[in-house]
Order: sequence, then structure tokens, then C-alpha cells
Amino acid sequence: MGLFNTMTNYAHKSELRESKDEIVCGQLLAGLSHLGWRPYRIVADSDKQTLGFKLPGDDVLSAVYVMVDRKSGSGAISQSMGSRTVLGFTAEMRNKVTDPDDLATMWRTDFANLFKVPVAGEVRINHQLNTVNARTFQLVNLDDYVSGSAVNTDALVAWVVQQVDALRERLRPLKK
Amino acid sequence: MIEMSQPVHWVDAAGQQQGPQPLEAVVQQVRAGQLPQTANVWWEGAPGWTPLNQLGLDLGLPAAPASASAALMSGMTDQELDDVFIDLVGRSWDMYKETEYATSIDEAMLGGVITALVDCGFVLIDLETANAWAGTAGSHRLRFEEPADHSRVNVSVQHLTPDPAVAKMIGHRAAVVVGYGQRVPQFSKVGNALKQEVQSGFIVSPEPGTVTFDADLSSGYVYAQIDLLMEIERYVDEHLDVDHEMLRKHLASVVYTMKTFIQARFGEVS
Repeated sequence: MGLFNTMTNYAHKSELRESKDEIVCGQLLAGLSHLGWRPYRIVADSDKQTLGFKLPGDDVLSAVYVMVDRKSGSGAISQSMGSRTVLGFTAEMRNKVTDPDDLATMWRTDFANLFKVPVAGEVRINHQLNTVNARTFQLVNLDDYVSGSAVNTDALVAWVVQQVDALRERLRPLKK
Repeated sequence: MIEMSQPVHWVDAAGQQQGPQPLEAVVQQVRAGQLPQTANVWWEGAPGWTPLNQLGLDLGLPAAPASASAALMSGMTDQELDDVFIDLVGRSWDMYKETEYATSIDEAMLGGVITALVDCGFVLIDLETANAWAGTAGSHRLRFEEPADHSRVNVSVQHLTPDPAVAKMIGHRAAVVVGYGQRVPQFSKVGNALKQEVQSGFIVSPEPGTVTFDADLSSGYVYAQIDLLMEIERYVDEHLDVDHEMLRKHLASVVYTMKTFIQARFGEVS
């Protein structure tokens, strides 16, 4: 029985190590829900999770998406590198009507984006007809927030809100 | 300005000269639609034949629109045109959002499940999404663990009515599977659960209330789970606001029962 226990303990530990990004997603969903954000899109691809929220009453944004893309630390060897993770943020703004002047602006910003090298923290504005998205991403080490299964949720949620606040201000001038 | 009592001659629709009669009688014919408003008239002292509609008379007819688009917008002020346009765009967005809501409500419920269990101290350790196919929405599988005793709760949700028309008829429904699992230290007990899992596998389409067993030999977990049909709108309102407390109570009752099944068969948690 000892061998069985050792084996299952190892498998269990490994499962929890692999789950660090999911643990963060769970805490973010709960923490942001308590701020009044309403989860409405939850998509999990392999090693990448996207959480979409509606922000009722927000004067600029119609939705916010938080993407968690873990790059290292899920395996026993890469664990030594820490849980390097890309956290992406997309703030979505919708205008009810798009006019021709908007289309001209879309061309300028979207064309300029083609030549930009992705840099952490940089904000990009993308237009999709009535929707204007502001995106940014940050490289973080999840180990700074997660220890075992305990998460420093307050710090993480406050930091996410700060990122979204910055994106909101970039979109505000484009709101009609 | 010519007087309405002035006797005039006019050219009728057939091109024949008529009159004299008072101008008022000719205007009456125009108002009755018997004579075009461009009919020519002449009277003593006039410089020549003149179209009626160039005499500045009230012919009782709307002014002819200057263009087809002017005709299209006739009878409406600019403000009315703007108001109708804004209303049409607003209605379009309402319908768009109705569809968006219909395809989001299951994920709002899922967010509610995560919030309810995380608030109780569980941590989310697994999140899977299966793509939509053949007219059904995608499904989601969640796995939670309680850090203290490593017991687990599994929840899977499949939205059965993502089509707004169907949802309007019968409401938003979901096939939900809720399971409870615990680590069992003895290989023989997990093996026993595996046998039952094989038996559970023969239940191709479980009816609501069917309890099945599952086992994971590698991590030493055994699970009891039950299939349910749930009305999503009991938990999620039209603004995607979730009643976390009701969701928690409903999950609690199912988890409690599944835990009883597991503990009756495999003993207390290790």
C-alpha cells in the first residue's frame, strides 16, 4: 500500500502544480464578481484561459476580457523557472453607430499596429466596426501571488482592476 | 396678384381652351384632381398664358418634392428622422444583445458556480471547455479541491437551449453533472470503484437522478456523481446577475448527498 500512496501523492502534487493558472482564474472570477463584474465568457484552451466580464453601469466599457496564458512551471523541471505567465487584458467599448470618419481612424491605427513589436505593458487600439478594443499584456510570475493553493486574491484583483482602469482611459476619448 | 373672382380662360387636360369662368372655379377643378396644377390660364390684360401653379395661389396641394429622396422623407422633420433612426439602431442592439445573452447565460452560471465554491474555500484546479457542435452550446467541466482534506467537487455544465427562440419557449436549460470525490488510500478500494465505473459506462444517456461512480487510479480518487437538468434562469437574471446564495445551497445539497454515497462505500476521507 505504501507504494500506491507514494504514487498517488506524487500524481496529486503534480496536478496541483499544473493547476496554478486555474487556481488564479478561480480567484479572479470570484474576486471580480464581488466587485460587480459579471462573468459571461469562460473559455479554456490548452494552457490558456480567457475570462470575459460584463461591467454593468460602466460609462465607457461594454466588456473586459482577462487572458491567462501560462508559459512555464507546470512541469517538475520548468518549476525552477517559476510560473511565468502572460496576463492579457482586453477592454471592449461599443459605439452604437460607426460613421465614415471612424473608418478612416480605424485604418490609421490598425495599419500602425502591423509594424509594432509586441512589448509588455504597451496598449494597442483595435477597431472592429462598432467595437473598439484596447489591449495590453503583462508578464508575471504567478508564484508571486500563489503559494500552494493559497492565493493573495486582494492584491491580484486590485492589480487587474488597475490594468483595466488604464485601458478604459485610453478608450474614453473614442466613446460616442 | 390676380383676384379669385377674375374671369379666366384655361386649357383642359385634353388641350382644349375653356372659359371664361372665375378663377376660383378653375382652382376647384385642380383641388378635385380634374385639372393638373400646371394647366395654363389667361385673362384680359394678362401678358400671356401662365401655368396655374406659378400664380402664387393656394391650390390645396403639397409642394412637389424637389427630388426622390426629398419625397422619401416628406412629412417628417429632421428631428423625427433622427429619432426614428436612433430607435431602429437601438432596437437592433437590443436584439443583438438578446442573442448574446442567450449564448452567455450558461457561462454566467458557471461563473456563479466558481464564485460560490471559491467563496466557501474550494480552489479551482481544472477548467475545460468543449467546443459547440451540432446546434448545441459548448460545455464546461470544472474541478475544485478543498485544500484542507483534498476532497474534490466536479461540476460540468452543458447549455441545452442556446437558441433564443427555443429558450423563449422552454427557458434556458442545462445538463449538469455534479460529483464529489475523495482520495482513497487502498488500491483495492479504488479498484472496486473502477469496476463500478465500468458498470456506469453502460449508462449511455443517464436519466436525472442517476448516480454513477468514477475512479482515477493515478491520483487515487474515487468520485460519485449525479446527472441533473437545471433551469439556468433560476440563478441568473436578465442582467447576468447571479444568485450565488441559491446556487451555493443547491450545490451543497448535491455535494452532501454524493459525499454520503462515497463515504458509505469507501469510508471517511483519508
